Amino acid sequence: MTKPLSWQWLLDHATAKRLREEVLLAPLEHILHPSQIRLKSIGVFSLIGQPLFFWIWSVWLPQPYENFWMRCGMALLGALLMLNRFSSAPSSRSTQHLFNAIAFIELPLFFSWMYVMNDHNAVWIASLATVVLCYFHLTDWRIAAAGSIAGFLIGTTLAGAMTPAGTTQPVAHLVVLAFAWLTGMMLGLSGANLRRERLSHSLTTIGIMAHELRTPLSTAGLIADAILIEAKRQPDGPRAGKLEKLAQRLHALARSMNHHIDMQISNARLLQLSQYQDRISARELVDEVIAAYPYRTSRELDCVDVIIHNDFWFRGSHTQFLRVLDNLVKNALHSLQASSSVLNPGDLRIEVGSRQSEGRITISDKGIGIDAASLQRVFEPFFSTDQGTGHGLGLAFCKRVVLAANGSIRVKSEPAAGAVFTITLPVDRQVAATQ
Amino acid sequence: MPFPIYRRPGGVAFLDDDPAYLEMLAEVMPEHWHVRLYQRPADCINQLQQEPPRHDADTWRQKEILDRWRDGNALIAQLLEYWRDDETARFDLTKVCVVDYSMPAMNGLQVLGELVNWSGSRVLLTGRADEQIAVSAFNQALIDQYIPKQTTEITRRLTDSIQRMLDEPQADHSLAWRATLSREQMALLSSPVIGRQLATLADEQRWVEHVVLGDPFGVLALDAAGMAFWLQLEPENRLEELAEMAVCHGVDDAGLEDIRSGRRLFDVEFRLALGLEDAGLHPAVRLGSGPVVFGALVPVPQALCPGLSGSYALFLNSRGPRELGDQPPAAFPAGQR
Repeated sequence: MTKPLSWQWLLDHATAKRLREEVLLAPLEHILHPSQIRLKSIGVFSLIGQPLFFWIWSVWLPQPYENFWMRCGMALLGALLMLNRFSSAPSSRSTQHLFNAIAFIELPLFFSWMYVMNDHNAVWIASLATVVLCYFHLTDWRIAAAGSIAGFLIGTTLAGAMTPAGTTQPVAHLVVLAFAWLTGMMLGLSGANLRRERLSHSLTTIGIMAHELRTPLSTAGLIADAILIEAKRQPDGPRAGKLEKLAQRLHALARSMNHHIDMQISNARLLQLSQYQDRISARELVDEVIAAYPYRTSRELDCVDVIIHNDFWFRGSHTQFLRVLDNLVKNALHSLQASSSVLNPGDLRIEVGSRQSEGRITISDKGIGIDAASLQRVFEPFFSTDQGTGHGLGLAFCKRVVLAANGSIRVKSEPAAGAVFTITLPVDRQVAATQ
Repeated sequence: MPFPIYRRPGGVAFLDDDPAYLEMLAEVMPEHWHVRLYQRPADCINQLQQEPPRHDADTWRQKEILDRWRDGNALIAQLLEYWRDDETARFDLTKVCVVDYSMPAMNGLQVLGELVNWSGSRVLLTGRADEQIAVSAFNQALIDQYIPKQTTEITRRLTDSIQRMLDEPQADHSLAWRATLSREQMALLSSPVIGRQLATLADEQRWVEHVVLGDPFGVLALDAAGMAFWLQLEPENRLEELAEMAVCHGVDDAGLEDIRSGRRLFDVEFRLALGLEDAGLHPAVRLGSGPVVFGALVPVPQALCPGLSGSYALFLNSRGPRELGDQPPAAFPAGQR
């Protein structure tokens, strides 16, 4: 007997699982399409739009209620987004919090309040419905969905308390608002889904591509061994030494490519970082990376300087942090390579130090540096300063790993003077105590 | 490792879907191995599944020799006859099967699962992502070893592991041949020093196959060229008995003194087993410290050896180069991709 297909069954399986993924597990996108220009233009729009609409609704097409000081407050609040401190770091936590607060206050809260103060009139129901849709365009659909309901409830309650004998809200308006809210949510949900799927597709492709290279590389390693064996068969032959050298080169090449493949595959696992809590010594981590890195020349190795001010321990995924430093070392060496000058010792410096509860690993190079426009975007997935050869996942991966360990990563750079990447991590006291 | 009672060469089968990898593997594996390459799981399974009956027939043949020995027939003569009759058929049996885990259609573990009656050692080659699978397969005793393909020393690791498996005596054969050995003889063979010295001797003499016998005590061995040798072994306490036998055969006093002191051994029992008359003295070496055994190497008359036609060298030669049927193209023809 087959099990009857019931609604309950569907809900338990496919739909419920899907819903859980979409609603609970997908990471929040606080600002949709975060960029400096977008944040600045939202600020400008608020600074000009608020006084402009005050004039429209009080002078040109007068409405029952307007409030000059409130409009000024809203204009200034929005203008905060124009500050470089926030707009230059659209993905930083402080910018995200500020953006969420401004969007909530200026959109659902303010418009709901004005809607009630203006006796639920036609101008303001239209405005409020538009604002609900705008909200979904600015931020994550889950934030927008919850924010519009909260803003509406708080705004209408506040205004209701201030206007003792207002008109009652027509039911038709609720239907219009519900329509706007539901439409915004549906479109927001599918848009978010699409963006995530595109990202995961690209990541999967990169992973598969890298993986496909493994077998031919293993074959190359075997060819090197075969050449070595052949050379040993005629140790006195005039070219035996040369053959051995070539075989070693082939081995080194295969090793280095395998190393890069490892790095790309872990970078491509951007969306599935798991939370490991290894105890890591910063000094050992750096030593391990420096020892295992496949340098292309001995000069590259010689230019690396490791300075340990004082070692510290932190918690995170050991393998992932190896890849983080790998990525940063690789970037630094590429940047040095691009800056035509000859490599000198100290051109790539790795420093480890800690002060009280904060540990720090800095990687500084004297390479070509990063220009100001790129600087704020380097941690975004698929952003690469190296158009054509990089796919822009390395630093995005670094950021996710460091954030997962409750740390932060910053970059400072001057074009032509090099770049400094600083990873800050909370020191694990338990381990520090056992030292 | 104690000196194996029965040892003989066996084949190594490699299965991988990538022909280039397979051929390079064959290139770096030692030349004295019999290597077979398979690109398709079905071919490999098919071939290996045909081996158990042949293996059983061979085991039966060895059992017959032992049965006849119990009826009073000499072991040495029977063994030499078995080698001459068999020619090279026994070298064709596969001892180790190395399978890549990730292949289209069928993974390595599925292939090994199909080899129900085949009793050789199983090695799994794994990629980076398959390590967990390999560990659990190892814990379930589905495989004897796994080796990651990306390891930088793949050649050395594979060669070492496979050589160890090839050297491992086959349990059923060892058990059967053990029956000819006395407790005292077994104790001598188990001595680590004697075991090591015998293994070194086997290497120096380039033996490819050998059987340790108890009646008479010694090792009957075969080299790659098909020549047989008898390594006569005499425990210290038997030298006097051997000297008495020598007296009956008219050995002079100097010879008797050599026998008593272990400088030379008298091969009368070996000659007798082959029905030969002209017993003689052969220079001996002292093996072991603590328990001591004296050994003398006696060549088997050429007419009784399997000879070149039954030799491992000829067998390897007749296999031809280690190649797959399909060769990778040297280059793409112009205009065609």
